[in-house]
Amino acid sequence: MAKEIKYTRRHLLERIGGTTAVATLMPFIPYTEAEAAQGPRLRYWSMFTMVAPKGSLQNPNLPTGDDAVFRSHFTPLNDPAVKGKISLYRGLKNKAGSDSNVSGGHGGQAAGILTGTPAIKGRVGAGSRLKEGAGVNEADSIDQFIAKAWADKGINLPLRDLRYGFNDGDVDETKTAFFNRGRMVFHEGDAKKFYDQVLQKAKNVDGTGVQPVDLTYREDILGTVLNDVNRVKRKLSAIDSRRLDNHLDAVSELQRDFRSDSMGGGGSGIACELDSSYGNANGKANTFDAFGKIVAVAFNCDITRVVSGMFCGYQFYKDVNVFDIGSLSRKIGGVYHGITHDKGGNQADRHALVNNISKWRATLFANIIKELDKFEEPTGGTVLDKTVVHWTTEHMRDHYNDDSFNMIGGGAGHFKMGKHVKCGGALQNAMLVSIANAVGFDINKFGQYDSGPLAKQYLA
Amino acid sequence: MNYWFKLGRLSNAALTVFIIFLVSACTGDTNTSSTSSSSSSSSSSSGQGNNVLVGNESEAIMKSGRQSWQGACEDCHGADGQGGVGYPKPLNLSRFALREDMVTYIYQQMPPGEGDQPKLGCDLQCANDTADFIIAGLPVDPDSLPLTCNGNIEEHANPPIRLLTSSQFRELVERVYSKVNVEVSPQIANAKVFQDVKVAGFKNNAGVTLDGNNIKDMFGLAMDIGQQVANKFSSLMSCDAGQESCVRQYINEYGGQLFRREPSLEHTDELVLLHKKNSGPEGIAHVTAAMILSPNLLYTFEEDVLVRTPLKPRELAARMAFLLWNTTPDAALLAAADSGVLNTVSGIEAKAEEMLRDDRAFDGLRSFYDSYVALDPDFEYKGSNANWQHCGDEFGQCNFQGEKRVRYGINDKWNERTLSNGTPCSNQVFGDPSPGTNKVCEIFIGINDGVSHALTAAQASDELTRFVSDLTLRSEGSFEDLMMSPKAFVDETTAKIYAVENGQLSGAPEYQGGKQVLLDSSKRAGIITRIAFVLHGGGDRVGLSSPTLRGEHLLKTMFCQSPPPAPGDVEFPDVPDDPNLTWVDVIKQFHLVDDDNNPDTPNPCIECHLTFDPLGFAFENYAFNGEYVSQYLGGQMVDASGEVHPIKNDPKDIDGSSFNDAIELSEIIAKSDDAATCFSNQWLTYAVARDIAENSGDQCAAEELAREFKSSGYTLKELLIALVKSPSFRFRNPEVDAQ
Repeated sequence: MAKEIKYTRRHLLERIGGTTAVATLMPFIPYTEAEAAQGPRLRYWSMFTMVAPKGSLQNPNLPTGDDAVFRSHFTPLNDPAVKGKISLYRGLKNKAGSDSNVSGGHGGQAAGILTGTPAIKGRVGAGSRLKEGAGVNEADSIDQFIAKAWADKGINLPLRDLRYGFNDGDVDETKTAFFNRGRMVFHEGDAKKFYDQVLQKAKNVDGTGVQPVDLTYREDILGTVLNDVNRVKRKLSAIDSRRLDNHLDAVSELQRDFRSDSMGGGGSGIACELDSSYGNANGKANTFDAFGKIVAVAFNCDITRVVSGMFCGYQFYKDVNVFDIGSLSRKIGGVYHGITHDKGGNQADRHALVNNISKWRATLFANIIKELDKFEEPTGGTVLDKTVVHWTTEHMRDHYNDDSFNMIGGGAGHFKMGKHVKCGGALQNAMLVSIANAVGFDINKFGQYDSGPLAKQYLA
Repeated sequence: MNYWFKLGRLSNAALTVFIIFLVSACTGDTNTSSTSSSSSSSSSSSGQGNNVLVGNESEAIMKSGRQSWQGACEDCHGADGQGGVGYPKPLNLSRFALREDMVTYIYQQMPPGEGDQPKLGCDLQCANDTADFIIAGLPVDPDSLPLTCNGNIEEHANPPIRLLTSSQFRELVERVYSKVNVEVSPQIANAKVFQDVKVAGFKNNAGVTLDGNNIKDMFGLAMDIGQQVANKFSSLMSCDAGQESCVRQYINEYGGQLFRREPSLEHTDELVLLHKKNSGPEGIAHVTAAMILSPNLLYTFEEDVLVRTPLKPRELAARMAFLLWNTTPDAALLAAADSGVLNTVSGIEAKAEEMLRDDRAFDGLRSFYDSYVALDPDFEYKGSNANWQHCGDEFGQCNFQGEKRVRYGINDKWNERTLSNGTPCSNQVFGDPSPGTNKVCEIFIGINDGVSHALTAAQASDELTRFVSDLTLRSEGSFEDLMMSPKAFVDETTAKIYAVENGQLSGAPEYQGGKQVLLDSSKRAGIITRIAFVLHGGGDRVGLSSPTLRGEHLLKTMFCQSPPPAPGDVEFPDVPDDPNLTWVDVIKQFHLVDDDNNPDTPNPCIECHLTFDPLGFAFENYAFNGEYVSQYLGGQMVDASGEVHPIKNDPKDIDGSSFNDAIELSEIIAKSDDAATCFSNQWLTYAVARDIAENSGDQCAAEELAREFKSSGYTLKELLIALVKSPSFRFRNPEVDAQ
């Protein structure tokens, strides 16, 4: 596919100094010496959706052979610009989901699929974000693990990670997949705010942002608060003290953020062009597309390397005005979860709705793949080639948790591409281990179970 | 009743007898001999008809057998051998004449592989140990037995650190700065900073701290408050904001109230230093922001102790204020704590009585009951909206014949016109009711969703709180009254929903903004028939309520029971479109009936759903906004009858009862000791901010509180007094850090 030339670093250099500059500077611009020492710039993008449709509706549309060939409402994934750049992994068992004991057939699966750790009711410790006092101990979801691990390796990006999405309805608090130290983390549902967040960092990266003056008082205030938090920590039990570490870390991080603003940011010279229309997206459907475009730019600019997005909620689809999703939802008058259980309206409308939702999800995923593939990497290939794009759902079909849905895009050279991979009973944890391996972390266990990575025959 | 309360009461031998009894009951073997269970430490025997199974009960074999059972058998057969998801029937031991037969069977057949796959691994040793473990009656691991009470009430856990809830934070800041009318932005506080997490069903933010997701918004909120204070500082303090002494005075006076404790000298010095960097009003804004961001303000916590220790007076005052008022302690309560009135149990009782006479007790009860009935604070029904049907998207065409009412817009913003034979769906035709959004066209089709009155969560909460507040604070009400009293305090909306006649309303006495009336006792009783309770699982129109959600909610609320999670291997059936079927009919057909009667293909839904779906049927008379309905939209009469089925291993004293509607179910619950005990457990859980069902150390306190509640005739107010006197409420234990 033709690349959109305006986004490339080469184009930036051409604008600055013409072809001479390109020839002279290109070898030095992409990766600094320090970056080169850290290896290739790899990224992880998690897209999480709730409640897969009934097996009888979904299965006929998924691949049956060895190649990733889709039918019916999943055909957006057959787009030539996408084909060969994604794989569907099936047959992985979400043991953490089946070992969880919260919220019927859903909450535990959702919490477990990206943490590999069961959610257990009554744990009021670090996991208290999860509704009803359930928690996943100190477990991180894979996106949070990767973001922290890179920070620990000294890769200090303007944004450690980005989270986007909607979560309409209290009931779905049980089902959010992103966990930081076992606590559910929030996400940004506002395209404008998300856009501003990235744009601000992009300006800092380029060194072109107008910096506020005399804002050091903010750091001073936070310095006072930091001391105060530390004093309180000393009075607490060890367990409560650890809980307050979240607060401490957050204040420290905000203080660093303010300091960075005051100093005028970095200045790596990477092109970051954000179309202002992204920030003005109206409606959920457009907003999700805008999220995708903004994230692609953020990856290209190296503003962040980890992104997680989710959308769910009982009322979520009522105002998604694409593929008749909103109008069908309103017509049926029920909530999505009930509709997947065949509740409300008539069967034809219910089935049309869940199929159209599948189509929208597939379209969003395909669009992500295409967006990332627009950006050339200076070392060859595209940003997509250096990214593991991971779409997962808390149930593959019906209430089954022994056949998790894992769609992998890009693959970072680690996963098979263009394939329908049947993993035959391995644990979801193995997928999480392999994702960590793919982006450069040599681990053998993720979550509660000793799964190891996926077997070699399932990988590139 | 919770599993751990019950499990310890079953001895191994009793469990064996229980299993064998069920096996014989299932197999119809009427010749089953009396079971003998050897007291020998090395062997035991189990009788099955004429069979005698003798196994080895050594500790090592039991341990190994238990591991095998839990690893390979339990998923299908259940933890107690009474059946699980894969094989929902009790073990059939009568098929084995000898222990060796069982060993051989396990070795050759168990656990089976999926489909045509060979059996999974269980070698001969595994088969022997598993067989012995089964013969011994699947004895419970002695290390996992719950602590027995023995009158020891001192083993309880501690509440974790708690972030204030959004309402607590706003109340505190606005009260302390009431002199200068500081306003806390609800948009930021409610939506951005405080997520108000429920723990064990109650909104208490237990264990919740600020983190990277909300710290920036919290900083903005603190700066906004700081600026408001700085702008009116002269109205707050009569000293010069530029003087250090004035700043110190401000910190001591206002910091002391915000923190509920005196600011330390070190903290004060740091705040003064912060002020010096930007003296004057700006410095006051910064100092105030730093105080707002202080963990001393944002959290409720108790200091660590090395030995079991009574809470410090101010800590106890804070606990009482949160429990009884849902807010932080005020200056008067802190002063009382400082003066020592909370140092004796009688002093605590007297102070609690006094606090319950305060208006803030109304808010305290609201906080408990809103969570207790799981009221969705965002619930809002704007009146019937199901009379409109989508006919086109913006820029498209809305096609219809004849003259129709057509509206154009989205959510609650619409422009309406009466048009003929179709129309473009555009701003040009209708004007733009919601600029910048994707809009749709809908035509009026006149379908009735069965309900008519708009309602908000706040109205439902008000009505419930007046009801329980009157019972608790004014009329010495009991648990039975909570279940059965037809007394209500209604506003204009709830009067309509309850169909209160105008004659009752005129001249009715008022209480907390509601008029006192008596509801139609054939349609309403106490709490489970009130609007705030029946909203739960109410669906989007009459006939779409969820008996499953409502029944599960009732079990959890009234009996502290949670059914197990849904199994992970259920394929959803296609539900037929039959206009003559109500959703209750569908539920019965798919959840509660094994339509093929083939024991090899049991309906995996029945076992669990039978314990809550029929309870949910009781609420079929109540629409999602609480209105009473007697027939469905299709004309079928509502059948709200049902039965109470036991949950395996967790019996309750109303099991086996049946009812015709929610009124009869209320009567059954009103007489239930188990329900009253659950109610006191719920209050204890709320008071100590932890799930007492998950903390075996709380068992004694729970039992003691239940006893006191019962001895008071289940008087609601006495329960609260007993609660604040409870040692588990007043003491803190040292914590063992597992890490």
